[in-house]
Amino acid sequence: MKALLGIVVVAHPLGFGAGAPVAKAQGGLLTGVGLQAQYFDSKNFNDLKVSRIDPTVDFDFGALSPDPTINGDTFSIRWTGAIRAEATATHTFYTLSDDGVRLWVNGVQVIDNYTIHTATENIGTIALVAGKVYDLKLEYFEQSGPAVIRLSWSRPGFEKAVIPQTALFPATRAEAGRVLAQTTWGATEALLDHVQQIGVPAWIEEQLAKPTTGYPVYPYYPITRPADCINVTGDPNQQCSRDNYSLFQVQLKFFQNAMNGEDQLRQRVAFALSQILVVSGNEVAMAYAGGDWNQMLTVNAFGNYRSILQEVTLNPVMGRYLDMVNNDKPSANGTIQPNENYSRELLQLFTIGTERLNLDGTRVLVDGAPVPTYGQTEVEGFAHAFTGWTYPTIPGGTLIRHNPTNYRGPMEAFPGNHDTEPKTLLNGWVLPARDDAVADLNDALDNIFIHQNVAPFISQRLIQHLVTSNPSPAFVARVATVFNDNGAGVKGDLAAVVRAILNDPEARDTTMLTAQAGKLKEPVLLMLNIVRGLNGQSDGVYLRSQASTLSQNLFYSPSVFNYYPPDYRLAGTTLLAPEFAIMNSSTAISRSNFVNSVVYTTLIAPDPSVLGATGTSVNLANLQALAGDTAAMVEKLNEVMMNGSMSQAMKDAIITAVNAQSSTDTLARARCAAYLVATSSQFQVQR
Amino acid sequence: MIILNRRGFLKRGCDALAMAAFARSLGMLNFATTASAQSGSDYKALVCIFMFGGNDANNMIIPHEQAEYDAYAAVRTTASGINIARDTLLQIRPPSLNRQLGFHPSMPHLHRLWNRGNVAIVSNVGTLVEPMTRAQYLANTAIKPASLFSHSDQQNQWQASLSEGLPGTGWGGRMADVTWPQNGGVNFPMVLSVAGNNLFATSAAHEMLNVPSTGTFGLRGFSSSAANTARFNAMQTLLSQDADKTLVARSAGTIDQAIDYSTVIDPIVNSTSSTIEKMFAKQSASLSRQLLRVAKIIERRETLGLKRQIFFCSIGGFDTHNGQATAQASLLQQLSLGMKTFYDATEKLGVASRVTTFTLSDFGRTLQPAAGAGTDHAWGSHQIVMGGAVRGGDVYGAWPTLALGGPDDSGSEGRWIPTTAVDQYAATIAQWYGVSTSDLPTVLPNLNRFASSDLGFFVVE
Repeated sequence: MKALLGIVVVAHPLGFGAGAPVAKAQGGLLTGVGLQAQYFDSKNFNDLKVSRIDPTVDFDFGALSPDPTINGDTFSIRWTGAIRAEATATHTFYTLSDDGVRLWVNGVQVIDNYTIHTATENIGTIALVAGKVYDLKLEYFEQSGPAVIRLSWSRPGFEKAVIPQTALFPATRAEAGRVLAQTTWGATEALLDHVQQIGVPAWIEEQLAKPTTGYPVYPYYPITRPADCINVTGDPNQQCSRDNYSLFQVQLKFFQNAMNGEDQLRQRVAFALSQILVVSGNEVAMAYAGGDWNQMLTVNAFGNYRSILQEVTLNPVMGRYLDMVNNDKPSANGTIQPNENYSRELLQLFTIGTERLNLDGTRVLVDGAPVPTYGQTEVEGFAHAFTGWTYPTIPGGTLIRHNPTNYRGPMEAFPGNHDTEPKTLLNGWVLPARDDAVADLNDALDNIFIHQNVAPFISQRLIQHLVTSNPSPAFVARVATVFNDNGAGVKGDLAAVVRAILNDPEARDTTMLTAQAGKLKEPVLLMLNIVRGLNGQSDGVYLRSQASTLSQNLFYSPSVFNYYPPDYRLAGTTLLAPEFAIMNSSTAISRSNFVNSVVYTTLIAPDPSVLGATGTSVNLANLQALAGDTAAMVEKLNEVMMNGSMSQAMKDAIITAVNAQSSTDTLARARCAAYLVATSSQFQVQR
Repeated sequence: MIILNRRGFLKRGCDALAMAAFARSLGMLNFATTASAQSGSDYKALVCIFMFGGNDANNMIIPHEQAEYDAYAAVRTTASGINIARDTLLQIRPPSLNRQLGFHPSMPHLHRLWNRGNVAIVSNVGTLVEPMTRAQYLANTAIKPASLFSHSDQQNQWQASLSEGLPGTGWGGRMADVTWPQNGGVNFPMVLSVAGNNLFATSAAHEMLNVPSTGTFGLRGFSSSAANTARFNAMQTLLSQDADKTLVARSAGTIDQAIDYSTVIDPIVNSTSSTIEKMFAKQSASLSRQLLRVAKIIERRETLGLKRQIFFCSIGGFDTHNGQATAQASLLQQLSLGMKTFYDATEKLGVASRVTTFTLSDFGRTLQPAAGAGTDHAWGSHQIVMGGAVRGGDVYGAWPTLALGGPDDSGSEGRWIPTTAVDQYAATIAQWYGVSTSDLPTVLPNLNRFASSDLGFFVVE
C-alpha cells in the first residue's frame, strides 16, 4: 500500500473540489498538510457547503465570504484533525477571531470565547510532548461584518507564530482508523498514515474512484464433469475438479483481493451486495459461474441498483438458484404453474421487504398494524411476468426452450414460452396481455424499483454492512434520500449512497456513538482484520477453510437468507444484530482458536496442491520492537486494530499479561498482546 | 448443586486447565450425590428437529385409498415430476382416520417405528393467529399470520408460536424458563443446540449453549504455565470490561459461557467410551452427527445432573422449488434413518420413554406443482413426533382435503389453512415435558384462542 502514499485527492462529498498540497513521508515521520476544514452556510454548523484541507488557519475574509456558495455573514467553520508537538513544553495557543471561537487540543478545551465580538485574541495553554500527535478541533462562527480567524502557537524559546502546515494533519489517528474499519478489510499502519495525511473525505473519494481488482474469467466447463477432469493429490497443476467444479478458486481470489487489492471499499460494498443478492455454491458451484457473478457485483458496486437488478435477474446463476431459468408459462392443462421462487425472494429480500416502510426505514403502521407490501396475487403476477427465459445459448448452439446449462452471459428469452395473460404487480400495476418476455421483465423491475421501500430497505442494509446494525431512523432517512435522488435526479446511484453513508455524522462523529452502536464483525471481516492488522499475508487457503468453521462458508450461503438473516435480533431484545445469528458458544470458541492459530504459528503451511501457495502468517516484528515498552506495544495495537478505542482498563489488563511473559522473549510478548486484542469482545465489534 | 459459577471462576482466577479439572470434579461430585435419584426415573428431554426450507409434507404422507390417491395424482401428475407412485408408498392405517395412507418410500425406518407404535403424525398443523376457515381467509374476516409464505417469518412463527408482532423468544426457551426449577438448582444451560442459534431455544433469561456437531469444543493454546495463566486471566478480565456497550457485552457473555461450559461438554461429546456411538457409525449426514451428540449428552446426563433438557437440531434443503423428487427423497431418508437410529439409541440407554423427538418446518408446500418439477411455499403441513411416551401409530388433527380450491385451500394452488395451530402442538409437548397448566399461558400466550391444549399424542402417565 506504499504506493498510495503521496497521492492527495481532495474532493468534497457533494462534489465541491478543492486543491490541497501534497504531503510526503520523510524519515518515517509524516509531514503535515493542514487541517480538515468544513464550511457551513449557517452559524451553527448546518448546511455543509465546502469540505477541504486548509494548510494553516490564517484568514481575513473582510466582509466577504470564504466561498461563493456561502453567505458573507452567518457562516461557520470547523477545523479538525491533529497537531504534532515539536518540543516537550507547555504550549500557548492563540486565536485571533471575529466572531466566536473555541479550541480543543487533546480533548481539552483550551480556548472558549464563543461570542459575538470584534477581532480579539484569546489564549490558552496545554503541556505537549515532542513528536506526539494530538487531536485538535477549532470551531468558529461569523455573525456579520468583518470576519477574521487565525490560529497560532508559542512555547518557551519559540515566539508566537501561525501554526505551520507541517505540524497539522486533517485526521486524527482514531478518525483514520474508524473510517478504515468501515471501508477496508482492516487498517494497516500504512493506510493509517495515508488517511491521516489526506483526510477522511478525500480517502472516501479516493476509494470510490479505485478501479476494480476483481476476478479472472475462469474457463468454461460443461455442467457434467469430463471423466478426465480430476484431482491428483498434491499436484497443483492437476486439480481440474476442485478448480472448476467448486468455488475454491473464487474463494481464494476473494481473500487475495481483500488482503492486497487497493479497491478496498469497492470490495466491501460488493461483498455486502453478495449478501443482499444471495446465490449459493450449494446449488451453483462452477468456478466460472461464481467468478462471473462476483465480478459483476464488484464492477457494479458503485453503479446503479436498477442496473444491478437487471443483471442479477438475467444472470443464469441467479436463474438457477431461484428457478427463474426455464420458468415455463403455465402448462396447457394448467396443472403446472410458473415458479414463484425468484419473484417472492426478489420482493422480500432484494428490493422492498414484506412490509411498507417510511423513508427512515421504520414500518408504516395503519391502526397500529403493518401494511403488507404484496400478497400472493402479486407474487404470482411477477412469477408469470418472469416466464420464458432459459440459459444463454452455448456458442455454436441453437436456442431451444430449455437450453443446456450455461452460466456465461445473460439468460435468453425463448419465443412462445412467455405467459401472455395480464399480470398484477405492485400498487395495482397490471402488465397488459402481450407476448413480450423482455418488456414484461423490464416493466416488472421498473414497477419494483419505483416502490417507496427500495431506498430505505437497501440503504439500511448497506449501512448495516458498513457501519452499524442499528442506524437511527434519521441516518437511514438521510441515506435513503440520496438513494432516491443523487442530486442529479438519479435514483439508485450506489456511489452516492455509499458516500452518504460514510460521510454521515453517525458514521463519523464518535460523540454520536450510542451503547447499541456498531456491528459484530462477521467471520470473514474478523479474520481479515486480524491478518492485515498484524502485517500478515495469506493466499486465502486457510482463511477459506476457517470461514466455514466460523459459519460463514464463503459463497456457500445455506439459503437465500444469507449466512445470517438481515432481520436477526439480539436474543431477548428488539435490536437488530444480523451477524449474531452465527455468533454462539461454538463459533465463539472457534474465533478464539483461529486467533491462536495465526498468532502462535510462524507460518500456516502452504497447501502443496495450490499453485503459488504462500500459506498464511502474521508478522509481529513491529510489536516485538516495542517489547521493552509494553504500553507502546499495546498502543500500536490500539491504533491499528481498534481505532484508538481501547479503554485504559483494557490496556492495563493486556499490559499486565504481557509483563508476565519472559522479558527476553520478544515474540512471546508480542504474541500475548496480539492474542488478547484479537480475541477480545471489544475487537469483535466494529464501532 | 450449582456446578459452574462463572463469576466464581473469575474471582478465583483459575487457569484453563485447572478450571476444566475443577468443572469435571464438580460434575463427578454431582454424579455421586444424585445418581440414585437420576437413574431415568425423572429425566425428560425434548429433541426438536427443524426441517429448514419448508418440507413438502404432501409428499411425506400420501393418501393410498384409490380415489384419494387419484385425486392427488390428478394434481401431482407424473408429468409434473413430483408424483410419488402409489405402489411405492409405505402403507399405514391410522385408526383415527380409518383409511390407508402411506409414508414416502424413502422413510422405511420411521415406518417401522410407526408400526411399533413409537411414531405419530400431527396433521395439517401450522401458524395461526386464531382459528380460520377458507371463507374467513378469503373475506379477510380473521387475522392472518404476518407475512404468510415467507421463509423467515414462518420459521420465526413456528419457533415462537406467535404469529404476529416481532417475537423475541421461542417456545423452547420459554419452556426452559418455567421449568428451570425442575433442574434442582443446577445452573447448567437447559437448552443445547447442535445446529446454531435459533429462535425456538431463545429465552430472555437464559442463553442456550451451542455445541458443534463435529470436532472438538474448547479453547486451544493454554498450558498451565504462569505466562499462560496470566494471559488467560487477562482474557477473562477483558470479558468483564466495556459492559456498557451492548454488542461488546453480548459477545463477551457468549465467549465467557463458551470457555466455561466447553470444558464440561467436550469430554462428553468426544468421549470414546460411549455405548451408542457405533450405532451411528455409517451415518455421515449432518442430522445424524447432531443426533449422535445429543444421544451422547443424554447418555452422560448424570454428569450434568440435569433432569430436564431441550435440544435443537436441524436439517436444511427442503425448499424444493425445483428437482424436488430427488432432493426430498434424500432428505427424508436422512431424517428417517437419523431419527430411527436416535430412537434406538435412547432405547439402549433405557430412556426411550423419557425422550421425545418432534419436527418443525417453515411451512408445507403447494399441492400444485411449479415449473421445474418443484413446489412453492404454502402453509399447513404434517409433523412427526417420536418417542417411547408417544401414542404412536396414529394421526392427530384433521386430515386436509387435498383439492385445489377445496375447503382447506387458502387459494387455488393447494396451500392448506392449518386446522391445528402450532400453539396446540407445542402445548401438548410442553405439558409432557413438565410445564404446568398454570405456566402454559407464559409459554404459549395465544393458546386459549384454540379449542384444545392437548392433542392427545402422548401416553397418559
